[in-house]
Amino acid sequence: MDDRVRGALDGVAPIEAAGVTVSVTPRFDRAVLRGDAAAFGVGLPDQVGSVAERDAGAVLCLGPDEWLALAIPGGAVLRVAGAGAAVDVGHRQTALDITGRLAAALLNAGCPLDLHVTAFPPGSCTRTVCGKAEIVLWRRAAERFHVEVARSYAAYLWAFLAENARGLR
Amino acid sequence: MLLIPCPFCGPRPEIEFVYGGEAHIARPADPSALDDAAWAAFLHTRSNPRGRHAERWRHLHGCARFFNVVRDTVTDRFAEHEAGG
Ligand SMILES: [Zn+2]
Repeated sequence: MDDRVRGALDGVAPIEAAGVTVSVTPRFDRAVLRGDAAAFGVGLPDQVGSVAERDAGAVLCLGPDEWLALAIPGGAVLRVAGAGAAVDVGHRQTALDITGRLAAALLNAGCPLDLHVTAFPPGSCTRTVCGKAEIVLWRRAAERFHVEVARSYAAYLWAFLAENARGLR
Repeated sequence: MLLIPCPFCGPRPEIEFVYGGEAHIARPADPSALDDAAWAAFLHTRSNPRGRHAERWRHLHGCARFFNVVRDTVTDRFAEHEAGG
């Protein structure tokens, strides 16, 4: 990933509201993996919606032959041997870290999924929507979500979350 | 909002899906061999049943996969999944 490329939300101060904090994560590498799980040099989770965490990074299984690798240094994850394709999408998305007692409530202002901790437990991931934007959602802990959003939608999603955070009780 | 059963993700809100129309509509192998009426029938004529309807959906804002499923057009209840095609 080229560090000279500007991020979509560089320098934005976190959203601090009652029960929830939203911040922009530091930059990290991302890759989309498509194809046969055996084609990749890193072990991949095989259940759609599950996450394999490794070191500081993770691999999210988004579809039966689709994975999103987060914060796994490019070299390892981009090596493909067989029927698969790995694409560096480091600059395509921006990531938000949403934490706090009302983290799920804030996301539910625009996300139609049941985010109760029993319905979407820690270690779950999926692509979904929030407001008008498509997002990838990964629940890292009961009160902590990682959100990936296309950089062109990042400013919109940020404004949407800031507006809805004001109304939380 | 409808809850639509994705074979990969389970029941999910309708807003994540796009509709793919009636299932099992095969494109003619040699379109230039058809007359206008037959081509129009392929493009536009659908069974439009009252009751069970085999149709295609794409879980666009989810796993992004297409799948076939039977829905009752009277009750909007979803029945079994079908093989693709
Ligand atoms: Zn799905």
